[in-house]
Amino acid sequence: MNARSVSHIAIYAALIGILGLLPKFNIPVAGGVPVTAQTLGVMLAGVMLGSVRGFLACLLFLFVVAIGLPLLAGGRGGLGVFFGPSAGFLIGFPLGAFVSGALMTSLKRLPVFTAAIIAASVGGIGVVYMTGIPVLAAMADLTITAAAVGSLAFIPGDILKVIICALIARTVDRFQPESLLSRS
Amino acid sequence: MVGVLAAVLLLYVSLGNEAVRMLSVLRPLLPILAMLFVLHLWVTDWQVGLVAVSRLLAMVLLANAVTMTTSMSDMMDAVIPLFSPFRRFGLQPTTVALAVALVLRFIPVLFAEWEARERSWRARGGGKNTWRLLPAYFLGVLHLSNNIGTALEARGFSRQNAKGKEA
Repeated sequence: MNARSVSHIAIYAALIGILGLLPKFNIPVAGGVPVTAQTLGVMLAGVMLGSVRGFLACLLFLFVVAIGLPLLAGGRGGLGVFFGPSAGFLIGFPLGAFVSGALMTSLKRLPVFTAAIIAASVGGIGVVYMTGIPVLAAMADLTITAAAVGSLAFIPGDILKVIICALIARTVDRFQPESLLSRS
Repeated sequence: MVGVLAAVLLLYVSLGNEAVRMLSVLRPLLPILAMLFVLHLWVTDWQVGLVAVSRLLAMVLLANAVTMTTSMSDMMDAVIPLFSPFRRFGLQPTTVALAVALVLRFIPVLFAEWEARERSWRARGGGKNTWRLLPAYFLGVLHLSNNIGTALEARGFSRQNAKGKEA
């Protein structure tokens, strides 16, 4: 673990927090469901940092939330959030980032934008929902289908975040390719 | 389950007025719980719904009680030694502490950076779509991160880390 990795992991963890806190990002949403940009940070961590560092960045983020920083969307924090209905989505953050990073690395042949779209949707949407929905179902005594239908409302916002994530990845690749660690 | 919830609420009352005021942390959770209860009314019945909702409330409140009564540095002191088993993978507990400290420091910096960019975007007549600033913002943030990495390196971070690995 060299110094630059530590600093990158820390800054992405901070970014995930910031993106969740700023309602000002004004991501236009279909259907009027409020979305925060928190999972955008998760997608970015995976896509930019690669699997292991992306995983660690999300883990670090969850760690600072657990020790009491109110960084989750809506200013929540503390141990309580890990026992709430959305705990599974939180567990999905590091796993999702890991999968995004791994995909990003293995899709080296594709252009950055396309690879980032695939990596962010599989990791940032697929994996996060795959852990989020069963936990939501268990915590809330719902059937898996009911929990899944309830989560559908967030999908349009998530798709938008995937696109923004890919745009950012492309910009970084163009102007500062050495920072796209998943591919270097 | 309702009984457990009542006991947890009593714990909060026993901690005094400030603790009771902390119950407001539940506010963002309430719409979800309400939705959940309605969903249960519809799919199963109100008793299952009541159990589900009060179980969630009790768990969140209990965990929150730990956070409320423990300061951040106490929490760090308690948790950091737990990372020592990871030494064999080359992860020092002190590295974790450093990373947490960096996160704490980065948050206000990144916030200020975003605000500055947003203000200049507005000043130049930019519209509401502030997400357009994100790619450029990101380049700046990554630049900062690289500089911090170099600064850590210059202060002997990796040498200290390597020494720890041998021990």
